[in-house]
Amino acid sequence: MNVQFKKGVLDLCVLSMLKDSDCYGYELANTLSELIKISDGAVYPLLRKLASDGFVTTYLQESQSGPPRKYYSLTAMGQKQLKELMEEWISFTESVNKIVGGTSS
Amino acid sequence: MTKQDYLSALRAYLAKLPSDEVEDILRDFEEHFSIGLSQDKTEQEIAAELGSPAEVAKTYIDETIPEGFEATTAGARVTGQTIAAAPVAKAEKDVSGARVFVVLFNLLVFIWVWISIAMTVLGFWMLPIGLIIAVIAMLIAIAAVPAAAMAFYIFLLLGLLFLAIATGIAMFFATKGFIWVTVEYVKWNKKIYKEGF
Repeated sequence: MNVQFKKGVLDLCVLSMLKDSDCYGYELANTLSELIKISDGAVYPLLRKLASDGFVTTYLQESQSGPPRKYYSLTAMGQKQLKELMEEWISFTESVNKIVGGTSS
Repeated sequence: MTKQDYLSALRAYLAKLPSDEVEDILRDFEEHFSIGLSQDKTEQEIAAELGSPAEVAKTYIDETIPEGFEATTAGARVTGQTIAAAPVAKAEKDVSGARVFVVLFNLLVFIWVWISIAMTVLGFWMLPIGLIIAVIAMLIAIAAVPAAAMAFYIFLLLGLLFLAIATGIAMFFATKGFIWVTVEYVKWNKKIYKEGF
């Protein structure tokens, strides 16, 4: 898969996962790597980029087991970005479905 | 690969980045290891799931280094040049003609048309301004009006006030439109001047 394309889709996935609740890196990495073929290690650079672009913020929170965990939380800018990526994704998949003759939503 | 091996390999591959950034990144991975270990995974399993340290480090470095520097392969450079070269040469040729046209047209035609329209707009502004002045004058003179003529006087006053407000609003939008057209024209001129037709 095209790297740029995959990156965009992963951004969409991460932002979507953060939509309803804040998550820590391990959770995000584990869920993503289970569903999409990427390594856990690829998720952290992505999170860092999203943070430096201002789409997510981070905070540390104590956990019952082990050291404090770094949680990621969606910013207002992140919500806007999520909405935009979501719209792009829907129109893109609809177009692709039309071409390949799959069931379009 | 053990946790320690993984982290020191990652640190080595990240050497290009500023050290505070490297520490920050390594903290994320330490956290990942410790959570993984608390879920009964072995260090080896976690390291395998993370992917090779070299690969991970490359992703960080690619993101930090500005995009323009990424296309370093010969292929990318060649296509980049061939695509860029043709339009640039063409644009340069066009621009000089477009510039002469922009300057001459503005000096000989546009400025004069613009000044006359601007003066017309300014002239029309005199209408609401004059009406307002009349209304104020009438308010000052109201004491001298005989009681019998008062109803008509007030009717006249309100009528003039209404006209003043109506023309004022109309002139406000006319002026706004005029300014918008001017701004757009200037933008368009700049574009033509820079890029040609």
